Amino acid sequence: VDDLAEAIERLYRRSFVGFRNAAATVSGDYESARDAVQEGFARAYRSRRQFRGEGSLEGWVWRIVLRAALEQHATGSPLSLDEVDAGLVEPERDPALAEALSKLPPRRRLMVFLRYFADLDYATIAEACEVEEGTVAATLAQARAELATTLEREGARR
Amino acid sequence: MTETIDQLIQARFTAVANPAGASDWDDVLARARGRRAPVLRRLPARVALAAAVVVLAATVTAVALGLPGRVVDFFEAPTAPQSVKAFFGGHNAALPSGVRPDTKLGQPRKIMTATFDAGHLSPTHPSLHKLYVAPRTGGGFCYIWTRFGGSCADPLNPAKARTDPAARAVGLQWLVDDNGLVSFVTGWVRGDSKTLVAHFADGATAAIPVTWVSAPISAGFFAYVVPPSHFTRADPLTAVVALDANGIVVSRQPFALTKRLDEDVMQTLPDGRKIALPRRAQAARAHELFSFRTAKGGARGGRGRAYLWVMPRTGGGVCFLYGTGRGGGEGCPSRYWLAHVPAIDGDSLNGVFFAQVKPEIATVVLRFRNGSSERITPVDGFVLHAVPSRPVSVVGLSRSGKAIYSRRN
Repeated sequence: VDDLAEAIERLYRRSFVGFRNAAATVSGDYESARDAVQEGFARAYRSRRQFRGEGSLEGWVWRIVLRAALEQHATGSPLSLDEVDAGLVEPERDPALAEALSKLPPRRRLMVFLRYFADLDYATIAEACEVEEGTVAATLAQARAELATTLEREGARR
Repeated sequence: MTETIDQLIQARFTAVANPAGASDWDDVLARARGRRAPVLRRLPARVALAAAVVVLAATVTAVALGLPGRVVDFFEAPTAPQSVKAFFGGHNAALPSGVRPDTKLGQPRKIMTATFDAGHLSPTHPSLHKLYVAPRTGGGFCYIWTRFGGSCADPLNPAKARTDPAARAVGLQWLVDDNGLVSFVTGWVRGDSKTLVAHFADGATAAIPVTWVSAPISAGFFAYVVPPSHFTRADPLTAVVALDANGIVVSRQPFALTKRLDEDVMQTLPDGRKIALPRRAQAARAHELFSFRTAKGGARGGRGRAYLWVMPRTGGGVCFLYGTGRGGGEGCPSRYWLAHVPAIDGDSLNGVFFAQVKPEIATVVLRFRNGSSERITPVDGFVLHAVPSRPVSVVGLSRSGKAIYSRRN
């Protein structure tokens, strides 16, 4: 087994839950998210020789997994990351957080999920979402401020 | 302050995250090799497993006993441990086409063990695996190899054999490496077969040992590790053939090697860079069609370099290799393939738009979300162009300026 295959397997074993939880916000439920993760890693494993090492392997695999999660929508036409309506799988567990997140634009919301569910650094989020790292930093700062405002309001109501 | 807010938000996310997760690397490998390991769905709670076994035992004809090879009386076989029972009893195995998703399974039993390497393209780490088989109401069975996978079959239903792979005489799963070399074959064979034979490229054959299982299973199971002497391009496994008692072929599964020209091999570009490309890509004759610095996209957000190499393709056509600073791709499409792809085949990646363009397209027009657009002239059938964002639409104009291709992203 080559180095890339081993690296992909290590990433899978280390981060499966993070991948699954973040993918679930795109695919809509944990079962289809698991399928997306399995399928995404299988595609990454199969096409690992196309990875040129010009970014991180993790970011490259994330792109593939997110694409697989988008396909789980099965709406007939493929969605882009700008269109997907990512959200908490179980909003009833934290309605205030779910509501705060729903007010964010789709791509910003996705970055938030990647940051807090998958614990990705900015560079990896940038690769996963195919944007620049600065865009991630700015987006997350804005999202954080918006979430903080909403959650603080919620705290004041409590 | 940021840290405090960050920690607050992180805590909220941690509280709603689902910490449990059933990872399954074997399933990833099976999918990577084009074989889906069973996807398991939960059975309705009303399933009466014991009743199912009784009905099956009474209605399925015993056909396997008396055949050569080891014979297992299904009801004498050890019952499966609780973990396997839960697997079979609480779930439905991923079912082949035509099989109802609400299939009910009876008591699973351990049929055999085998030592093989389920985790590597080239076998290097064999380990012990156990085969459990469970009867299914309505006929047939489901089986699972521990840490490998399994399937379901209905081999005693000849009426379905034409349309349903699960009803045919033999059901195979195999492991194959990047060259198409088969290292391991497993599966089931219907009870009316007598022998199972491996055929090799040099004309040699070898009998594959089969463990036959009595009713209600009425089928044989096998796990065949291809000998190292036949895990070579010179003399590979070429087919597995099932014969009946008269020596008539009832099933034949051929195996083909990957065409030698399509294998990836390390090649050297004219600039001295070594890279894995299909053998049919004539890397020594490659030339760089595009090369430019990107505003961003390099390591740590710095400037990167976008490039596109093209090279002749043995058998006709062109192979390409491109990079965007942070990613890229390659292709060696045949003319047949090119005939079936869009006139502008490609998209943006990391701020660089790449596409292979058909000859009738004289100009590619990219339109962006902010209302701006760019017109690009393809070079030798390719476009590689820095873009501010992913274009919202891609239009191809003919030489007369007529839009003959368009798509929205």
